[in-house]
Amino acid sequence: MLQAKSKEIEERDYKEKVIEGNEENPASAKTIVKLKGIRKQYNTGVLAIDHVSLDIQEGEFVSIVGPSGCGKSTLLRIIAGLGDYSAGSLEIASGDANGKGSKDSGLSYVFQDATLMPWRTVIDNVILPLALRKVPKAEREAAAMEKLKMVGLEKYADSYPRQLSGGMKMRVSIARALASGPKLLLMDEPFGALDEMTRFRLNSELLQIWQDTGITVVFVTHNVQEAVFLSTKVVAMRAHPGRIREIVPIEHAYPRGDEFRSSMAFTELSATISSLL
Amino acid sequence: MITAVEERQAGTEAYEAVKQVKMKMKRRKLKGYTPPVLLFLFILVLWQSSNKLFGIEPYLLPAPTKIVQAIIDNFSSLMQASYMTFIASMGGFALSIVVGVLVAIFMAQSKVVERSIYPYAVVLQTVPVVSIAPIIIVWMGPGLNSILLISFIVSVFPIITNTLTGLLSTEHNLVNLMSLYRASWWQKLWRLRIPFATPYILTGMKISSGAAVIGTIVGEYQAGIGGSDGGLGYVITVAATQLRMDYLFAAAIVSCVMGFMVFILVNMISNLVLRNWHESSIEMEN
Repeated sequence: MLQAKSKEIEERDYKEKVIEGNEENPASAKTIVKLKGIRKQYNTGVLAIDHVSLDIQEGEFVSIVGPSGCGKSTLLRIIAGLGDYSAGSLEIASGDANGKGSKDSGLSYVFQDATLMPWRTVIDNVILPLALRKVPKAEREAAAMEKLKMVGLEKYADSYPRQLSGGMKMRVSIARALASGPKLLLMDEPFGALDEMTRFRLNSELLQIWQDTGITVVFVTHNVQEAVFLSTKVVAMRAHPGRIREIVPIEHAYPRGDEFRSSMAFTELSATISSLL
Repeated sequence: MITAVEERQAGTEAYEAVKQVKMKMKRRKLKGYTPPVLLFLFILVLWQSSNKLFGIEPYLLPAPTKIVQAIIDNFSSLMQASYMTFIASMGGFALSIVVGVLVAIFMAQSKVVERSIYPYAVVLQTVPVVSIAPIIIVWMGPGLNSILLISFIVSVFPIITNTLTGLLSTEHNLVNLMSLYRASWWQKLWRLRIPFATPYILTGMKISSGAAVIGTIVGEYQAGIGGSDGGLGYVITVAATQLRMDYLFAAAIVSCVMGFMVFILVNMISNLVLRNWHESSIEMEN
């Protein structure tokens, strides 16, 4: 009885926090992802995530942080449509107006590994989403080259993935994700396997791309500082079962650089969020 | 200041250095060939003098010179036979590749399909070719068709099993990626699964190329088509019944050379296809 009551309070608590989080955004912004009471239970009975409600507005950079096993990757896969959920509702407004039968889901996904095709050159890897959509050849090559320039790899267009370093491979992966011109970019710990220097550089480059394109990013990481540095808001999750603990807005202005990383506000925010996990 | 002459000289020196390194590598490579060649020559000399040294009768073990003589004497008939065998084995091999890959694609569609077909594919591999060859020859008559089919039966299994492994081990996230971009079944097959399975298919081809040649020769041996259409299998039959050991050895050597050449050819194709991306064909610098 007592347990049930405390659970109720908890739930009300987190609902309020969600609402609080939403108020931080201008009312005019369009909601691009709307999760409501999402629950994922595996066939084995294990509850991966439960009661996850989250609104993401167009143009936001939202990070999801949490310890391993909190279901953050599972949540991202559900948003991408790569995994199904047991209960709740999910609305994605990234696809074009043509509806469900459309070739364009309007979202892209960056995996933990670069997930490139080793038999395709760098440019051909970036072209892939456009080739699948049967975009005319000249057009797709120009588009892919433009994205490669965005990540600074235009000189490596004709190289093969094996000739690139880990950081460069991840850049190709990001260029490929951008090639289809998505509204929503989902990233699953994309820089987790990179060294810190490379990660810092890619963080800045990613922010630049985000600002230039106005794309919405949902970024999963276990690194709290990375989340604080990048995001407009940080979703803190905890495990067993995975739930949203709190949504913390990060109000520091963009562009962000080293001065933000070394500021008091940054340290405090990081500490606050770490304590929530 | 470096003058143009000095610069050119430096260029030539660098060129010379590279040339020397290349020569060194070439010499090292040649050095690698020396031991097996020496062994071969040693055995050849031993063989040549086996009659005198160990008293082995020449009609049981003809001397290498006699075998070479037999190859020269029967050169045109051996070449004609080799040509027939080559055509039949390449036909069987090609059939194996096409059917093997198609069957593997079909099997990769579902676990149920895979489980229902696999045992029969294994049966193809385990049935002794000498027992099945006469049946096929009785059914289809002695001719190119039955020999091709025997060659096919012997060589198809490695293609099926290797291709299937390749198709089923396709990187899961690449499959997810294709799904995210709403790729069709065909697109997933052509742009992902087949390229991913290519190194596996090529490995299967390397194994089955030799098997296709052996299958063909066994088929010809059993079919017993006479005259100029007989192939190496028939040459072996004739030589064996007449106890012409030198000719028998000659046929065996020609068969070996053909199997070897076919393998080298497949290996070259494999390296050509994979040289840009697959670990097995990349020359590592370290």
